[in-house]
Amino acid sequence: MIVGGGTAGWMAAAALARLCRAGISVTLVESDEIGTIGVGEATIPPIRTFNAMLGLDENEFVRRTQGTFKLGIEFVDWQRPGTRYMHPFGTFGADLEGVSFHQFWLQHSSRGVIPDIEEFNLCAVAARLGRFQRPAADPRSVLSTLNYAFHFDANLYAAYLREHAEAQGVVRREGRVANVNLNGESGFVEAVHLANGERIEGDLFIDCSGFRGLLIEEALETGYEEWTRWLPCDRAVAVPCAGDADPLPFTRATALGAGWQWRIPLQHRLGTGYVYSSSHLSDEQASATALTLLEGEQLAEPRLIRFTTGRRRKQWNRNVVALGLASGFLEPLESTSIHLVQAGISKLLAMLPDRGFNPVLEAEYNRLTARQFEQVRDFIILHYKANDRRDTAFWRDAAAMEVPDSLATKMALFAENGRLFRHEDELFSEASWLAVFLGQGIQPERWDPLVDAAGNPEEIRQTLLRMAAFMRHAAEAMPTHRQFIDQHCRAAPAQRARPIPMRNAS
Amino acid sequence: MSAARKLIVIGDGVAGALTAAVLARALANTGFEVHLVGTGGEDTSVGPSTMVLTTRPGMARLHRMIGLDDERLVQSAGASFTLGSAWSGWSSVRPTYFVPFGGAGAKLHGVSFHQLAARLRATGQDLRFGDYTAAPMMAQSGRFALPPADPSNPLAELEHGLHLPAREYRAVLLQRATAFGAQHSRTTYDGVEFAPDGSISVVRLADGSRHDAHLVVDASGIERAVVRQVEDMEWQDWSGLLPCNTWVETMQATNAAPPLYSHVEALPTGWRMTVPTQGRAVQLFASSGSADLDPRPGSTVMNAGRLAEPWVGNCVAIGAAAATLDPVHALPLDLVRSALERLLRLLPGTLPASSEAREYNRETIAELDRSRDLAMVAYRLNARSGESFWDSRRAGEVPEELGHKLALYESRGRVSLLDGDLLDEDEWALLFDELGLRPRRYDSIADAIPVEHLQRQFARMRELTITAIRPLPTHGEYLSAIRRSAAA
Ligand SMILES: Cc1cc2nc3c(=O)[nH]c(=O)nc-3n(C[C@H](O)[C@H](O)[C@H](O)COP(=O)(O)OP(=O)(O)OC[C@H]3O[C@@H](n4cnc5c(N)ncnc54)[C@H](O)[C@@H]3O)c2cc1C
Repeated sequence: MIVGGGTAGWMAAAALARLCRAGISVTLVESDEIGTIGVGEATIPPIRTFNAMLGLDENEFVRRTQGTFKLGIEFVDWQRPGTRYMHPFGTFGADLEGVSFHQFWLQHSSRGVIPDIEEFNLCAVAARLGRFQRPAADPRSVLSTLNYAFHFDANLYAAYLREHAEAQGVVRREGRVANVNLNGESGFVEAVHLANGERIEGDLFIDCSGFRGLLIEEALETGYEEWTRWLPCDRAVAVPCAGDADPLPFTRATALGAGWQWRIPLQHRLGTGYVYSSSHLSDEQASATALTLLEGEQLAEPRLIRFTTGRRRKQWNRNVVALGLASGFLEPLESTSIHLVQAGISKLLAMLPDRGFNPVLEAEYNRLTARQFEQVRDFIILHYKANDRRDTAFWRDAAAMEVPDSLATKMALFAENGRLFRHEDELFSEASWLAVFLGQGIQPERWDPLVDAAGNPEEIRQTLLRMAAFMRHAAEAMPTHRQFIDQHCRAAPAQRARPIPMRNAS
Repeated sequence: MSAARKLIVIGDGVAGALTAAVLARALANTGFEVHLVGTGGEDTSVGPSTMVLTTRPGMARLHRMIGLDDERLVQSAGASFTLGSAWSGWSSVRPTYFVPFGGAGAKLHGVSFHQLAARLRATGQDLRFGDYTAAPMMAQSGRFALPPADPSNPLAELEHGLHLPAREYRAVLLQRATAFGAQHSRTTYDGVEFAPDGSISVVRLADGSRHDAHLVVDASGIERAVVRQVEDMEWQDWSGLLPCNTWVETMQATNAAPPLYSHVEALPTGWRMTVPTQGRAVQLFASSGSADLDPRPGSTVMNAGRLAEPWVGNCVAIGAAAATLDPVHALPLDLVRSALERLLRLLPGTLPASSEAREYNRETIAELDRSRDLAMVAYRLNARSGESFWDSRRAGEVPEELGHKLALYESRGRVSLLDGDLLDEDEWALLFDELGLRPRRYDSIADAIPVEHLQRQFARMRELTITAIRPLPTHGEYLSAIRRSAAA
């Protein structure tokens, strides 16, 4: 029994649909009255595994969702105004003699005799050139180091998944949940009542009702662990506009006075919005800024979204498992929210309880989820903490904040001599940490002493330069992003809502 | 000109020699000097096994770094190959079972072997993991060759380790260490002196010489020659969790070709491990002596436990100086390997290195504790009833993490992988399965594959593996061929 038909709800429904074959009934309730959040359009590479597990054809999926391809995120003005860097998917260079590539790069960059680290990442090079192609399967090819995700229209994605889920037997019910019945003894949820009086029973409830957490919080009072002291943004104003014919193959995140702006290119439009801290900026100012920054014709009224960063104390409580915004929300800076939905679903499938609800399953699910939330949290905090912008109180406060111990250790080890530590199950790779550390201006004081033992520095430098030349060459031979889409997955032109004339921001 | 910074390794047994070789190789030409100093005692640097040591698959990487490979160790150290261990007398479902490196079977459509096996068992078919796994099939046949490069060959993923005679292995390591510029002292260790901040400032040797220390590695084994003198180094005792503390080793010469595995046999009051290698076989007897009895003559007493923090100030303990772990799973040398790889990643250029030490301790402690949990599993799940030693092993407390791991596997066949686990999911699953821990339900994604298809795939897997093993040389022939190639 799934409550909520946003991205989370329909992802869960599509994945659980296979249970229908085993005779388990899967029902989803959603309310047209309430609507979905409708943002959440940039993803990270593991989404491909999810789509593949559902058996979706990738070209068809991109076509149906007005999707585009994403090779990474560009961060503009984050370190300080005037700077930009790419956090690309895919790896940097190749390791030599068992020592990480970036250690050699550090050695030479300290003398200024090596190009920017971006030149050693094929995704970054291709992104800058506006080119795209899928990775090669042959691990010897440099093209195998490519990695990608998508941008898509969240509403179209949910609709597409709905079709898939319903075809396999998931039953959709329209209606607003007005009441939740708890069992007097066990405290388990027994049923939900719709506003029209209907009662729907279930064994396992999946709460995908968005921020409010209809079951997990309103009914079960699970509690919420706030992370606003580290991630102070608590509002967003979203406003789509017309994009250009050549969509960039990456997301852009631009730092602004009290937060940052996202820019997500789709085939039929550009998704943009300003994520900000309400204690540093008023809603009117935010929305005015968002409008001045529009690059094209405005396509809808600005929409205000409120949120509190943090996570539900338990994502699984009794017979309720919360997914999506109901389970917690970091902020959208690294496009991780949809991934956390997907990760939750695959854990749930592996630990699907029976009527006995063995508490060990709940404990394991919550342990893994808590850890994943915390790891993503640390990575996002890094972007704020390591800034040299001293222009506004927002950024000064961020630079001054005390960060979690887990992150402080990581930062200290990198600053010392470029060492990267990643837990085995951590979502973001060493390459990701490297890109953001360097991009945010943390330049290690030294490099790994093992570098000096590895061989003649000038010969190694020449090897590195050949790597970069090779990457550039490979990227230049790729089709442009637009050509690639035209060839494989061009969507039908969308029936657009009537454009809204640009308002004067002043 | 600034003086060279000295890394001083105390204890020149296997753990110390390996440490010196690895550090000297990594730090050649970097202004570091590596010194190796013995302590004079017996070599307990790795643990209670002092005659033959077992490497697990991950060791090949570290060996390669110091210019060693399997062939060379077969030729110059008398090594033989191993694919895992055979266990008897432990399990309720299998009188004898095999624990291969790398766990059982292969995935199908992304679903783990043990989940697929559970699905087949649910249809009433009894099935042994070992019948579908290359290593036990090969171990039984006594045939061996290093894995072929062709990825489609069913033996391509085969993992192996080595059985290494300790004395010969140590000699090879010392030779590597000095070749990379480490200085092996003729005299022995005397003591350390401390700076006001508590770090070690000087290492004194028996000949009266004094050496300024950048970093000191204690690899002196259960003697803990340096650690004993460092105030903040506390010891955590595990005797309540791992009761064996009395160790006796014997060696027999033999002409027979060595088996491709070790054998761990449960006895009424402990166990016996037989580790074969070229020309000999070593037996290690483990039992739990009581404190008020004099230990048997010729035995070593070693209680299980670890340092509360293996790296304090500028002193890092490695091997048995850091932790004494029951060797029932042959993990001790692998823990040295892992500690060295970690130390290399975290080797400080400057001191104090508090973030490096903190990270090193965090990872090392997790690994030691999870290895302790692993060592406890076979005791915990033993099926010998009516023997008080074994009966009491089934009862009693288990660490929370292990309790959770067992409960989760029993419930759903899921392995809860934690930081520091040296085994992967497949390896844990195999171990649990052979010891008779069976999940009440399997992963529903295994249902997506039709049973007939599974049966066909399993049969095919077995068939292909047998066909691939049949033409291989026997282990004995293979070892002789390697030795001959050295002579040629
Ligand atoms: C500003 C912003 C930007 C974001 N950007 C990204 C991004 O780039 N990448 C990314 O991965 N994620 C992003 N996210 C997160 C992403 O939007 C969400 O994770 C995702 O959309 C899932 O939302 P949901 O389905 O949990 O909730 P919602 O979309 O809010 O859906 C809630 C559902 O519950 C139903 N419902 C609620 N109450 C009731 C009731 N009483 N009765 C019946 N039905 C009810 C509603 O009808 C609706 O169907 C972003 C979020 C924000 C706020």
